[in-house]
Parts: sequence; C-alpha cells; structure tokens
Amino acid sequence: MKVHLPETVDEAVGLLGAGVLLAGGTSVMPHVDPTTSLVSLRRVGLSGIERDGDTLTIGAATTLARVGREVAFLHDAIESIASPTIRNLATIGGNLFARQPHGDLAVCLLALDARVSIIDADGAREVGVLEAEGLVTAIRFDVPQRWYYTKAMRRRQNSGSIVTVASDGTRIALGGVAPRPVRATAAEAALAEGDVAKAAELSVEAADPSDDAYASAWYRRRVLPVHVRRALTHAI
Amino acid sequence: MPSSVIELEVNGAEEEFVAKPGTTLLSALRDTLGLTAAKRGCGVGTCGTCTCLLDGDPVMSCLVPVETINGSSVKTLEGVTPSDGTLSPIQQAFLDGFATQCGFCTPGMIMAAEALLAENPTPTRADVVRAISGNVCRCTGYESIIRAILDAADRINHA
Repeated sequence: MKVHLPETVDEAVGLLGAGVLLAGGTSVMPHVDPTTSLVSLRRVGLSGIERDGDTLTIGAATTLARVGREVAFLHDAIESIASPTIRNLATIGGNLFARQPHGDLAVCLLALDARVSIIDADGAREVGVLEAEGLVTAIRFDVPQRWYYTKAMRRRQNSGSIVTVASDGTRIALGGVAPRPVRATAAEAALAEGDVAKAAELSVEAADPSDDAYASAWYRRRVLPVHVRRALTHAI
Repeated sequence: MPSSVIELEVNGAEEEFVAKPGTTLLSALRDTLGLTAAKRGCGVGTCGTCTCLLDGDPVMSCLVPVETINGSSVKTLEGVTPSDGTLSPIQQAFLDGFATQCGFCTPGMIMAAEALLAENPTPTRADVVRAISGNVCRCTGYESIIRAILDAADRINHA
C-alpha cells in the first residue's frame, strides 16, 4: 500500500493509475484494504468557489459543508446528505462518483447541466456530470432562476435516498431510482408544456430502481410521481 | 512505500510519530498516541464514535489517512477534559442528565456537541439533532443526549 500526496494538478495527473483517487475519503476509505494504494488530492489545492456573475465554478475538492454554506440555493440539498461529520470531509467532485442511492449533489448538478472539468490520459476537457472520469478539477454551473429539490428519506437526517428530485424548472434529474442519477426527459417535455401532473406520471419512464435497505424497487416506482409532483409545485 | 513521519498538534501539544501508509487518524490516536477516547465502532464512517475535531471541524477520524493531514490540528475528548480532574460543561451535563448508558458513543457525541456549541452557543433542539445526526447511540438514548447538550449550552451561557 502506498499513499501518494501530490501537491499540484500536474503531479496528480502523473499519478493517475497509481492508486485510487482520494478526496474526502468518505466513499473510498470504507473499501481500502492493505493492497489498495491511494492518490490523495488533499494537498493539490482544488478547493474554492469562484463567482462570475451568475456562474459558479467550484473546485472539485471543495467540501459539501462549504458548498452548503456558500451556495444558498443548494443549502437544502446539501443538508439532506449524510451528517455534518461526513459533509466536513466529502467533496463536490467525489459526490459525482458516489454510488446510488447516495450522490444527491450529483443529481442537482445533472439538473443544472453542470460542466465538469476533467483531466485524464487524453488531456484536459469539459464533460457532462455523467461522463466524469479521470481527475475532476472543477465543476461549473449557472445559478438557476428557479430551483426545486426534494429527497424522500427513511428519516429526516442522514439517510440514503428513496427518491431524489432536482429541477431548475426545465431539466428534471432523479436520484435513488436508477443505478446512476438520470434525467427524466419525457417528464421534461411535459413540463415544457406546463403539465406538472403529466410530468410526474412520465417521470417513471426514466426509473430503473433497485431494492435496498432503504426501499424496495416497487415502492420507489410507486412514490416517484408523487415526489416529482411535490417537488415541481414548491420552488425553493 | 516507507512509513512517514507525521507531525500533528493534538490537544494543543505537538506530536511527532511514525505511521505506516494508510494509517487512519483514528488508529494513530488510539494505537500510537494512546488516546483511546475516540472509539472504533464501524470503521466505515457511519457510526460517529470516532468523531474528532480536525482543524476545528468535526470529522470521522476513521476515514482520514493520517499522512494526508500532516501538520494539522486535532482535538479529541482528552483535550476537552480539564486537567484538574473536573469535567467540562458538556461532560457534566451528560453525567447529570443520565445521557450515557453503555458509554461507547459518548466521546463522539461530546465532540459533535463541542463543535456545535463552539459555532452556535444557543442551539435549538433541531440544531442539536442535526449536529449529532452522524452519531449512533446503540442504546437509543438520544432524547437524554439531546437534552444534555441543550442543558450544557444553558450552563455555559449562564456561567
């Protein structure tokens, strides 16, 4: 086992493949064993939030706690993720790789059509939320005019998602109901016509839910339209 | 890769020690520094018994490889306890309010409460619930823990 501690992005890119990329560690550390090498991003300096008008660029290693404090419209979504002790470690970049039914911030970023800056063997480029791979350096999105978010949980704090719905009033992204966050495109088309009830009904077309400790696939499919309708009728 | 020399400020004192690659902050505290208040409950960041303050923020110390925080400041329950044999206000409120049952979650609960009261001296019940939402009490004594933390806030504010 090795723990690499690169201090620049270039050093980190040179170490891609030398170990598992480690940011906050909340998803990686539970699975580390003595044969796992790590490339820690803690000293690479990828943390920070820049504002340019309505556009936010957030460094990949910025903690969820800081995003929740400084990006007002995402506060409720951040508060719905795990606990303060986890949010002080977990990062926005890492959340893109959180396995469902976790990764609620990734669901929000999908609804925001966020651009993800990545670097891998093919060089640096921007990709969509679901295409992120290699080293994520930053995430950029526009603050939406309207914002809708709801997460159904087993309890009010610190639970994986049963159903997560995020929307800017145009795009609708879902969590908890598929192996990865998904856009509900049929529902978006109905929403564009102003038909929230039909959008709620059609959201099920995007779902491919699983059974887990939080809920059954049957239950998720059953309650998804309810939560989509509630989400879309209560702007944050 | 060889072991590394780690320097941490732990409970106000400079500590220097050698750690094998991948040693967690929790293991370094317990096995190297002999500070056993932080407990290893789940080892995967879901129970909160290992909660410590890292540069002032409460974190799960079982999730932090200690090499990655070289040079940081760490506070554990040992650093909260006064050296004259008395108890801190939160500890005393836990004792008086019967907020410990088996006691295994107590160090983590108190560190989460320390972080809360440092940031917000007059928390509501909802603030307390949020602050300890990463800490499991397997005896299910949450109500007395929540009351003790609110009581501690009162005691500190009226001291």
